[in-house]
Amino acid sequence: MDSLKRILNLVKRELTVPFALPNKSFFGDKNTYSSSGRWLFWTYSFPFLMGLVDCWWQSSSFTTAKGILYGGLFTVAFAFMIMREYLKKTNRAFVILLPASVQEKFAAKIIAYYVIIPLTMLVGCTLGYYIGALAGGFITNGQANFAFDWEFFAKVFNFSSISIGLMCMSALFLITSFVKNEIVQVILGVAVILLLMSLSLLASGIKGYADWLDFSSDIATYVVYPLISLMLLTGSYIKLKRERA
Amino acid sequence: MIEIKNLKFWYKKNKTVLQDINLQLQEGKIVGLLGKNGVGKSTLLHLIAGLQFPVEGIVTADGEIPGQRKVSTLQNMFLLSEEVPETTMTIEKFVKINSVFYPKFSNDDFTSYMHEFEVTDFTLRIDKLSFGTRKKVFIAFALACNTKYLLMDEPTNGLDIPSKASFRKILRLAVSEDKLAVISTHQARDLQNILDSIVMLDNTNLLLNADDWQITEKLYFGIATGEENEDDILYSEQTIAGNQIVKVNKDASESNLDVELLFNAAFNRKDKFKSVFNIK
Amino acid sequence: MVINSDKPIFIQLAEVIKRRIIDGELQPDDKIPSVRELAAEFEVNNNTAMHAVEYLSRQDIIYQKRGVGYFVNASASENIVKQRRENFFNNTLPEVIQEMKILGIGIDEISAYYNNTSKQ
Repeated sequence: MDSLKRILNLVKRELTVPFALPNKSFFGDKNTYSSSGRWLFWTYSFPFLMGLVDCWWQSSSFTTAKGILYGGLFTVAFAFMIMREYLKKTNRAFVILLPASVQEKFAAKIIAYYVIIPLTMLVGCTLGYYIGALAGGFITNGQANFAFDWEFFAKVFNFSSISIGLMCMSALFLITSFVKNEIVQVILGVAVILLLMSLSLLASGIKGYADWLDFSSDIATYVVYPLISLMLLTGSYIKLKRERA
Repeated sequence: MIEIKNLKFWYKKNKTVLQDINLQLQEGKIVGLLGKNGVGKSTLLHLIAGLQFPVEGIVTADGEIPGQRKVSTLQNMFLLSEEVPETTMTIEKFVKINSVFYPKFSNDDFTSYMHEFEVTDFTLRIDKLSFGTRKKVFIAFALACNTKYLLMDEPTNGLDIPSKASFRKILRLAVSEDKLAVISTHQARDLQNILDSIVMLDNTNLLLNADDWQITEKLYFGIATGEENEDDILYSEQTIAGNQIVKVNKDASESNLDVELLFNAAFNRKDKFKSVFNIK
Repeated sequence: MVINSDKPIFIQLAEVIKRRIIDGELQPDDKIPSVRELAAEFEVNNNTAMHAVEYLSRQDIIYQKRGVGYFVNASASENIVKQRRENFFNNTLPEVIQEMKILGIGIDEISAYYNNTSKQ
């Protein structure tokens, strides 16, 4: 089926364009982008460092903070991925006019950024953290603890955090649909992510609604957050249909 | 066929860019889109491609509205912007990844156009190429997609002289009877002899839409004899060869269309120019 | 072909084809390039290329096989020579004679020049 072939090629295209950060300064030179290697370094080094540092900081409060930071890094990395396609006006024009329907393009983005990239990030970050922890253990105790911390893993990567992560992704999709300036995209993206992730903290102050927005409550995880995601995605899709360059 | 009816467009409400644009462009032609800087040439191309949507009026390509961005329409439309995409991909990777979307893409065509442009190493990274070379890569790619409609915005900008000649050659070869190319340019000399028809924009309106032969039927481009009627001369310029003029062609003389002189004539005596071509 | 802006381009294009015929590059009944190929080679538009082809056809240099293309006339070379002779006597020679009269050059000087150069 032609449509399927186009979606697959679009996904391939999304994944093949090197994900990279500007190489001059943080938001650096708009015209040159470093290769995938630099991206890998940026995104995987943090979990590695976290693993390394974790040996000295074995407190439970840090574990939650770790989880949030971990998740935050995830989504910030995604933000850059989504952004780089929009950074140059001509790239945008080229992509808009690429022969595929809006539905196909949107589907490809969902597959690429909701499924494939999160999975690779998950594997990569976990491995990075694991190796960092091994190295840290070796440095502090002289021996490596090869046991995999499934508890931490489960704590960070459960349905709640996945639900929140997906909601953050949807927010980023929407931001990149409406905002053209990449610096604003990043600032807005990070701000929105932090806001969404701290919803439970905010909700605890509102009587009666605490449950709905509580980070780990079922109603939040399976209803509220997915609904918010759906609304945000619909907004992105509608904007994509009328995208101009 | 590209059909534009009563097109009106603005980016901001109080600043109309295009209005009352009525145009029909047939296949088998290379159309030159001329006008001063900022007049709206790029905008018109974007409207034809479906990148922008008309405020009023309608744009169709083979009866379909490009703004709806149907796959079948997009597969037959290629817009090459003035600034070409920059990517860290190599030439061959870019072609491999993106050619899949254009069913009529021909690798043989791409290779032969690149050969004509003297770019032979396809393993080079696109962002590391000079601006001119990058342009050549995308021109070759655009032409090799073999889309029915080919829109190019200032394609010769950044090309050296031999490359401009190569471009003329391959463009002429690529645009067969079933294809239409609309090329916007302010470098009239780069394209003039190969243009089949001219569309001129001026101050939000259409100033001219005529075939090359229609223009040379109505206007004569050449050296003044000295016996011309003052009112018949739309433009004159002293050159080494003599007094170069554009005049009303009263005696059906043969002359070669000089796009730059045509442009000057249009703006020098706009009303006379309009009356010659029956434009309101 | 370097395009001369004075002469109509289609005529210049036609002259190039004629030269190729005289040089033997194009033989009788050879197919000449299509209108599109000519337009591409000489970097002109379709109309100009078409015009040139029609011009050559009118002068009996080429003939058309419908649906196939244009071919060199068997008598093309002779026709070209005939036309150039006509052009010589109608245009070139009168100009030379005119110039001779202005400069006071006699026919004997021309004869002598002709004889000298013929020997080389």
